[in-house]
Amino acid sequence: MTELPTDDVLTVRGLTKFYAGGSRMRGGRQQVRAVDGVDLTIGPGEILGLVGESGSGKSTVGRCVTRLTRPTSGSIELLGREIGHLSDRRMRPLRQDVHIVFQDPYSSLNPRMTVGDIIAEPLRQQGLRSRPERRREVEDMLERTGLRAQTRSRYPHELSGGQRQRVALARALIRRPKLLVADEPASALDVSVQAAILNLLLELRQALNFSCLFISHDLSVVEFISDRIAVMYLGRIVELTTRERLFTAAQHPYTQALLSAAPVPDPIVARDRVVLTGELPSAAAMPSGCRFHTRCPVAVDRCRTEDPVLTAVTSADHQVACHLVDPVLGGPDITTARSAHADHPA
Amino acid sequence: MTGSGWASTALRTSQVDTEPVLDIRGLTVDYGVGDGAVHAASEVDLVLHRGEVLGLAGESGSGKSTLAYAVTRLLRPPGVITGGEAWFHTAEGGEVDLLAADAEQLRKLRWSEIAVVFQSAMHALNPVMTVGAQLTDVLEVHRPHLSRHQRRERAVELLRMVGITGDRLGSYPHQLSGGMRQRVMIAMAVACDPKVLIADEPTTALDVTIQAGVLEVIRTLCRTLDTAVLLITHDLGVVAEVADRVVVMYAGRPVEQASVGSLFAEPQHPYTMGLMGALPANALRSGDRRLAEIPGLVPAPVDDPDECQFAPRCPRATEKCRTERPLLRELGTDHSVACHHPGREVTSD
Repeated sequence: MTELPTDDVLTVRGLTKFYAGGSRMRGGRQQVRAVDGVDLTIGPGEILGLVGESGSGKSTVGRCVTRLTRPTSGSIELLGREIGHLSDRRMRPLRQDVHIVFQDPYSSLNPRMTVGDIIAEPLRQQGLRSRPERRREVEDMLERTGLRAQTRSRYPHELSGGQRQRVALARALIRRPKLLVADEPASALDVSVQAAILNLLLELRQALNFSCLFISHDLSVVEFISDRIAVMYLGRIVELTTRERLFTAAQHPYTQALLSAAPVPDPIVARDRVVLTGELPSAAAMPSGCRFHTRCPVAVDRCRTEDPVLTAVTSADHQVACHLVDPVLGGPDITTARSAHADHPA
Repeated sequence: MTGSGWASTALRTSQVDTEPVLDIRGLTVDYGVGDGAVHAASEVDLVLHRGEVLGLAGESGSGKSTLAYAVTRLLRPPGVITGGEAWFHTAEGGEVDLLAADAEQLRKLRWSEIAVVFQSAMHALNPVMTVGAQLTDVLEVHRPHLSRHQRRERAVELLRMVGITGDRLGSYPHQLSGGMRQRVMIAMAVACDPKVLIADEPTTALDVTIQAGVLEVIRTLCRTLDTAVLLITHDLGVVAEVADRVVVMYAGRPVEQASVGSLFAEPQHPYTMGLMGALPANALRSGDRRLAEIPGLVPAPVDDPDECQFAPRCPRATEKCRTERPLLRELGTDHSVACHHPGREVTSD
């Protein structure tokens, strides 16, 4: 716990996670490359937003980082210790430093346990604290997450979705982890409840000072909560930069399309919408070259053959994986190429 | 009448003063009977005009989907329609009360006049029939005069309209992505040029880039075919994108009704304001790193209340709000609100 080789709470390098997929009956077994080479770091107290559409691999990254699944290759350093390939037994004592909150508060809490027991479970699992001490800590967490003390003896089915998500947060934070992975923590909730949960997460971050990998498909939520944002597409990060830069000067064509597609709650804003043609290719049949070229409105020949690497082109804090980003001019403007049809995946 | 509606607010509102196609009056739907019955929708009045997109917005439990099920008579027990009328204006100039119509009348109206797309539409397709067979099926029943060849041509045309190539006719639903299946459902829904399309959360399960495409399809259909669309959604962003008018529902009642421009520029009901303040996109625009919260929960309306149902959660509730239920009243042109203290008065905190 004492020596920290780097300042970063989490350093991920070359992370991959492949699943065996495809029909065995048809003889062939394909490899589904859910995460296909991801590098990212999270500093102390930082919230890194990981945004992408379904199938982009963002949840798999979260599951690898929390070691709920074993990555195929690559390194995951948590507080300077390599955890990517530790056995479950060796991983166990390190679990205090990384916890996760899932999207669905209806299935992530054990319906047969009281709220108090659920929140105390991380302590009990590791045989920590006496019973009265655990009770005190549970009460502390209930208060911090804005739940009434009586909630302790309730069961999950008695709570609303928002309250359940508060319980999940209390459970995740009772060991004071250095890193919290929040996988779509507010997506299943109504907007007014979602607002309360997002506010709470920011408050708790302030009070308990943890870092957070915040996974979401919702750009406005990610923009609201994150310090830095990584955009994922088909298992890769295609753009990684600060919140301000991403929303004012997005460089990758996919990021631009994503921003343009997100509905804005303001009818006055007349926008030049760029609707992507084609569907997300399957992660089992990855396109050659740049994996976005099949839907990219500005793709050139080079994009079809050469896979771009995530690099800083215009400034050190703005990494992008696109051949067309110019050191001076920045990213290509996809609105200019709107009439040009992108070809469909074969 | 093909006003762009997409960009200009002035154009959107000008479309509204056209003939009504669906006129819902005093619709009340209960779940369960007797003392424990929950009023999922209470005395809802709603008019849908020709060629407009009417957004029906609200959080879960507000009764917006119940409304769709009731009007299309797809409501299942324990849901019961306990009152109201829903007049559908047919092409021949006649009127039919959908809530009182018999099975035969309904059969004639469904698909050909009123079509529905549900949120789970991607599961609503028959998995063992090709997309083409399902599309031509609809036409075979409701457009019997078409030949087999014409049906097929129409099916191709419909698919093209939603951005899917004709060679997909032979595909089974599992061979299509979620967005494509949803678009196939929309194509099926508009196969017979219905006058009314009821879309219940049609894009909620889809990714944003796909959602943008589906919304554009809906918008285009509305413009080119003059279809009236009742778009039910929890997402105010979607409403702002495609709707001409909006009705905000709370606890089974409409609390605010306005043109899209007016609602977003000057929301009057504290609940509507609360919803807008809770949107991260709005907080960001005002530079806030804190979202407005609405304390408390949506009540399950068991009794007919004498109070404003939002009063327990409302920052500006007064004695009057707790004793007298506000009725929907007109504030300006095409903007009505059910609140004793509407407007911006105490929004600063």
